[in-house]
Amino acid sequence: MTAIKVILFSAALLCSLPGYALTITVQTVTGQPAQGVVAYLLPDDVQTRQKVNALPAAPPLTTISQKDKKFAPYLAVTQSHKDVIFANQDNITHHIYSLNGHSKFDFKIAKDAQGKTLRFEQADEIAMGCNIHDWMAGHLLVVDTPLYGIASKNGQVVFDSLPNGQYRLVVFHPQMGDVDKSFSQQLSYPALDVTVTLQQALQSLPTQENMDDFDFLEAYD
Amino acid sequence: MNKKKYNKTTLLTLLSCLSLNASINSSYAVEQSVTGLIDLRYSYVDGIDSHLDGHYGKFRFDPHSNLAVGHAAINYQVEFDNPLSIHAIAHAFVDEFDSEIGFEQAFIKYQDLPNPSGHRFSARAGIMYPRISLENNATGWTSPYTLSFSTLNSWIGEEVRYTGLELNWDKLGKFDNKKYDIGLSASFYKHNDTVGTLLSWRGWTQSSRQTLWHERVEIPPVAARFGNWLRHQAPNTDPFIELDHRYGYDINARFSMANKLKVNLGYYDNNADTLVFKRGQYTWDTKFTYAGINTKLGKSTRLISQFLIGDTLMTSPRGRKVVENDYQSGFVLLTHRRGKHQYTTRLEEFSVTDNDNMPLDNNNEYGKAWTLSYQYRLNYNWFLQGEYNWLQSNRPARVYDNEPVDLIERQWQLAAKYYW
Repeated sequence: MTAIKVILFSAALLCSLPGYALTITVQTVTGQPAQGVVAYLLPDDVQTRQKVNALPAAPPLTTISQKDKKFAPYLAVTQSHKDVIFANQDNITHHIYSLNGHSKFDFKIAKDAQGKTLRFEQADEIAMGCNIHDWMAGHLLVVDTPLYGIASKNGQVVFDSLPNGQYRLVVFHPQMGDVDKSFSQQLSYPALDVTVTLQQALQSLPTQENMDDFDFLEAYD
Repeated sequence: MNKKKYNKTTLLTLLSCLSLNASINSSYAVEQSVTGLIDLRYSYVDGIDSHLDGHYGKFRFDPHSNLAVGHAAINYQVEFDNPLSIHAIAHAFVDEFDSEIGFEQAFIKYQDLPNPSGHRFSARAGIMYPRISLENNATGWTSPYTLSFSTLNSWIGEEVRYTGLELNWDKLGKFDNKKYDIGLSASFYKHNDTVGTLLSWRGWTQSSRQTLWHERVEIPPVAARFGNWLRHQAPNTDPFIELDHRYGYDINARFSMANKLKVNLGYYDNNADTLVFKRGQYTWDTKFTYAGINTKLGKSTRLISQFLIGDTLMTSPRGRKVVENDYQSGFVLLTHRRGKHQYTTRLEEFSVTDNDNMPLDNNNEYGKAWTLSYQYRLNYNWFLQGEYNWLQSNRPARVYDNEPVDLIERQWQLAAKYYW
């Protein structure tokens, strides 16, 4: 926690009264918006957890597509105990797998197939691959809260209708350094908007591109 | 090419294995898929009669104009809900010489998941190509770059294929944050006992006609065949026959770096017993080393280069050396894609060196070739392609067919290709 600078903006005070949205802004070590980074809020006491569990609107289902022989999106988030749909939009078969200890899975998914649905029972950071197309790489973050979002173009995650209470703010991206991955921040809502500045540069994303880029390759060697 | 009777026992055994496997696994989810290619081709050749017609012409088609079905290929795949899959590739050709349909490859593949350290085991069993060509990675073992394959890979397509078991180990770098993968393979096989015959008696060619698994290929009129010491040789060679019941092997190593570079190295040895002679077919002891590189020079330009060097030996059943040749072939291919347009050029050099002193059978050859190809992608499935091939060679054996020793042959091809 101490490794991350947390800046509280007093100018945002008006926006953070109860019933107003809370905005988390994530920026890179150079101060640029950290688009694509996940920010999520974990209830930090029993009362807050009860309020969060009673939230009426469940987040939409998470869909992970296989499109143009890539995982799309590269990074997806879901709440534990919720369905995750894998949808193959390519006209070839994929063999999706994860080797994570308690989230290990693999399945083949043909073209035009009905989406494959999986459900994860506990929080985890899941790295995925395709056993036919080795260049494909994707990640699924499973969190124990419905309060999550992926930073927009301007690096912001906005939480609407947030119940008052005690939270722990966590940020995640597979390309984050270890220092940033171990970050979490206590947050008492209502609160001022928060800006999180990552301490380490994000590594470059994998290109997810095959060396041979012809559309009609034979995948048997 | 001449037809021969199917090696029915082996083919039926393979097919029954495939169907048995399918029925055993009927309780699993089974996904079938079919991909394919139709290639309709017009060609004009300025040269001599083709090697496919038993002569010394370097190209697939005879002189003057031709219309042909360059390729009609079907790749049928069955994926089981386990590490197994079945792959059967059938290929048909219709040209001025014959209309032929048959198996190109058929194998069962087992591919386990990598372990958490990125080590992965996989295997293939059946009729398959060794991992040599860096050109022929499209449906039906065709090339995304040119209509005629390099002389090196034309030979692989004609004579080098086997029935056997391939064991693969791969190490995927992404599991420990490395940007490169490495792999090793060892193959053990039969049914490749006459490999070297065509390379010796006919030389290198620039073709796109693969030998189907049941086919024989006509041999040119080598003088020693006619009433002389080669009179027992059948007029055709059977590239995929089993004569000596010994296993050959092929070792392959590969290295790839993100989507920038692939390096491929290997050694092939059919480990043949040259004392065996059956049904007009000599057993040829053939060994070669191969190397290749595929690298991206910027986003849309790619360089592929391969080199192969080896030797072959054929003896009489008593062990007298009668054909002993060294050979080599190499090419550099440069291709550039801009939107729907793809421009490719390829330079090649090849040779065969005759090391025996047998008369009426001069196998020496030296040549160079240049290819220029343009491909236009009409839509997702349709491609139009125009190609020019130029090939200069010196081959003294052409006098056996009343053709000049020094020769320049040229070929123009236009193709409409539909991949799905």
